[in-house]
Amino acid sequence: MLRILVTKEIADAILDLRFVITTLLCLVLIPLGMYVSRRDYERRLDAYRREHQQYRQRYGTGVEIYTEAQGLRPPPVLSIFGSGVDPFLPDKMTTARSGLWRTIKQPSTDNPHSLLFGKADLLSNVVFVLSLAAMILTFNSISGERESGTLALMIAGAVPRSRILLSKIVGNYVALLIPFTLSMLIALVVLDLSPDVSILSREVWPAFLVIVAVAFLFLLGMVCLGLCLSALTRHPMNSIVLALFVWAVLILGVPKVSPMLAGVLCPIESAGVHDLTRRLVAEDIDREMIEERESLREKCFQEYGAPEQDMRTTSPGTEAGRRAKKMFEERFALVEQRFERRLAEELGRIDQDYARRRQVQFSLATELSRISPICSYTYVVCGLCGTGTSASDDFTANAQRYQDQVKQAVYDKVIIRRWRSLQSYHYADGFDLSKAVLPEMKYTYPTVAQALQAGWPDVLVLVLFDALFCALAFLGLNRYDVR
Amino acid sequence: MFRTLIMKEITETVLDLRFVVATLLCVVLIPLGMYVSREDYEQRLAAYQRERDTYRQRYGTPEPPVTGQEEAQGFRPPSVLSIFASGLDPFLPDKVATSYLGLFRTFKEAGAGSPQSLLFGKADLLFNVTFIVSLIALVFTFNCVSGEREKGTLRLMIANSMPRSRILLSKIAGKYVALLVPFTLSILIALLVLGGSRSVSIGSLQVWPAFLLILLATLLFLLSMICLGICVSTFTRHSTGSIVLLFLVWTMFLFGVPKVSPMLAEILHPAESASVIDFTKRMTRDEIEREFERTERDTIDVRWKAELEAVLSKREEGARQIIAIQSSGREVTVDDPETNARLRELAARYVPEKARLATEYQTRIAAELKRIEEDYQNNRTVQFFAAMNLARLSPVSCYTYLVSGLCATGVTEPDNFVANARRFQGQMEQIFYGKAIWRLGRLQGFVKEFDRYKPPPFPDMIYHYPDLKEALQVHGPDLLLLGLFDVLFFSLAFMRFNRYDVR
Repeated sequence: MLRILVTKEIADAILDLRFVITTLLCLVLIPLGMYVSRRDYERRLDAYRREHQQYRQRYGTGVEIYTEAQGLRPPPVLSIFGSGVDPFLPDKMTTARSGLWRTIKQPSTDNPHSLLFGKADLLSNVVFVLSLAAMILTFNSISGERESGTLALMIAGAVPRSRILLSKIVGNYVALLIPFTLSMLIALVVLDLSPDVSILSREVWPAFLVIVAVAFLFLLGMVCLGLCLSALTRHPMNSIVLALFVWAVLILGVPKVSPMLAGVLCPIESAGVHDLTRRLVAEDIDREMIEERESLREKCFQEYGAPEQDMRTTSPGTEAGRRAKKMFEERFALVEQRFERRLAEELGRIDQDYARRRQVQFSLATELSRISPICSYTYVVCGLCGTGTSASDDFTANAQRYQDQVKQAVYDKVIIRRWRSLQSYHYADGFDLSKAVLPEMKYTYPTVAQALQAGWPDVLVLVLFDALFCALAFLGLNRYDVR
Repeated sequence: MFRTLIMKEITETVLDLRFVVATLLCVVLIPLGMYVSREDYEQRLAAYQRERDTYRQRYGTPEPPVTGQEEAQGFRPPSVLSIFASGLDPFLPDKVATSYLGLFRTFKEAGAGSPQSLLFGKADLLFNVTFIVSLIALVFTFNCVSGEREKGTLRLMIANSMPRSRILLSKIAGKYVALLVPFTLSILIALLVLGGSRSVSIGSLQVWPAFLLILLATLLFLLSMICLGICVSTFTRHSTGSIVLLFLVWTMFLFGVPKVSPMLAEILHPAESASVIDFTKRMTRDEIEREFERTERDTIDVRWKAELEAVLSKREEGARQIIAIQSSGREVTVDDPETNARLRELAARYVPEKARLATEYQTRIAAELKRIEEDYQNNRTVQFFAAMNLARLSPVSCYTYLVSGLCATGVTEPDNFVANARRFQGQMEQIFYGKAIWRLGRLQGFVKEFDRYKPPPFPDMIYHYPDLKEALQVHGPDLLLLGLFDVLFFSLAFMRFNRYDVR
């Protein structure tokens, strides 16, 4: 019986104009989007390789004491499926002897049109087009059957309502998956034609399978949601209005509003204000240090009874002045060390505090946005693609690692000793500046296992949404007045 | 009669569930989006001002004595109109550093905002209108012909000897007014939100004319969406059919055409990327330089060396070194005064000849590089306009081009940035770099009136955003096209409606 019902639903859906249009849209947009994303990736990869090679050629061997090594971030191959925050991430970083590495982002406005209208990667196609298609396929499957009278007939045929609902879910889901799977296959062929990307490589296929599985989960949720809305209304016109409203809220409202709401609920000052606070603290401590220096100088010179004018010159004229100056320099070195430690502590505290509050805001935004299955889906896919919300932290971690690597390989091998205005360089055993080779930056993107570890709440949320919408649809249909 | 019809349409729409939902969406999303964009703008403005002031304080006047290689930094202020449409603003560079070599560099700070908002995009007015309000317009209208046919009311109206054109007009006017109610309401609230800001004043000359134009464009765009919805409705006999067709059309106009047209343009008119062009330029330069070295060695150095070897019969291995030293403008003196005179005489003959050759090759390099750059720019311009014209098939792209252009965040802004940067570099050259005298890569000194111990303060970059007139010059066609789309959809709807089977 269930089989007949499912077949009827599938036949119903497939023979409809909606199916044709969905297939058309999928077949055009998904492979084309894949082609564009692939081209974009190839271009970025090409630029990366060229820059890398050029950098190697020029700075291959031989370093300087203050050399700044450049680490380049290769474009993640999976960004073809979901570009996420990739266009906003820095492309490279330079290490520094002082430990303060810098990030560099090259402005790229090569193709202003596609920047203005946004990318058409797989993620955006699924989120915008397929989710809408799921709604359109299902909006009238209960209220429409009621209006045409067939629902009453079915119920009269002693078919349990749960079975009717199940057959509707399965039928519509299959009808939606046919164009999706078809277009994915074509898209895979398009992808495989690229000389730079191989689907069978270890980097691509496990992640791709997970991405497809998550897309299936997400689409099931959307189909259930459409049925649920259909079971909540009596006329298909109301169903479609409700469906479009819910769709707009879930896709456009929740994702965009939640970061703002998080910003209003847990306000943090902008990075600029944070910078200013740091600078003010540093200046305060500096001023204190200068005051203490001057009082220390006076004390030292008074102790030795040195004349006033010796205090202001670099080479005091009297013996007492010279001794006072020596004394002052010795004591001041300690004071300076103390202040340096204090400065580092204060700045560290401010930074930590700021980072903690930022983290609170971000996680609040994430939690809020999980009200919508679209956000959970986006988080999982972008996380798998290495372009998710944690991508900039990954970049920081990679950059820090590279900085440490260069420090070990070069900076630590040369010790600079300063004495007044003179500097002397001491090299480690067997270290030769002209023969030293800068280490390569090995940029690591999170593996599938790591991404899943970070993204499992979102997968769980997707499953929960499936169950929730299904249960709601069941509740609605059980109490539905079929007349 | 006409008034009654319009009133009927308006009441029908207003009493519908759709109106409530639409009003809710508009009133929540548009003011909220405005608030967020305003906050974002204020932050960017504060960051810009702070950075500029810090720079002024610290490096505003170069530290004497100057070396002639100091770089000046210019900062791009955020465009106040970017509140309405952020467009390309997040991708544009923030500052430019001039260089004594004549090549400026641009910088872009990596986005430091919340990763969620980067991932999901901004919800500015442009986005809200193109996504939400356009969808609302279509949802309002999709069943107004096919639905009335289904209910049978269309037949009644026609039976009353009502001209069809009047019915259609009343439908358009009624739906349009019904759509404008929530939109105007939410825009008014959004303006209040905007007026609460300290750094933005709506009454300023920068804001209000552009805002009025944006409103005009929005009204035109929404009218075209209403006409499109009615047009779609006349193409189908059932409202379910209309909604499906509407879904196709909306997706095509919003996602299909705008995203596909840049790719199509790229396939039709392929142009290399900037990095490839850079590479080609470097290769060309290297090649010509190598050729120069070869020519120099084979035509001048050989003769010079032969003559030198004849002069210093004993120290022939030194000939090459002497050539190198004398070429760089320094003197070679040997013990023998007669040989010295000969050396000087040879140098006087060959050094200018070498300089002539060098100049000749330098002009050749410059010409070649210019040719490549021009080719590239030509290709890019062709591709650029192909993409733009293809995208203009959709009213959504026309509207996006027009509004982002008016907000100075449109597709021409990257070029405008380069023009501004170039102007700043030129200014610096006049004030500072032009005063230094360079010879063979060494600083020889400064011109007379320039005191390297009292250098002038570096100028601020005056960033010039295109004004309304300039923006309209570029995007005038878009405004016109929006009007044309209105007419096109209206006449299509009229044609179809006239032949519509009302049974």
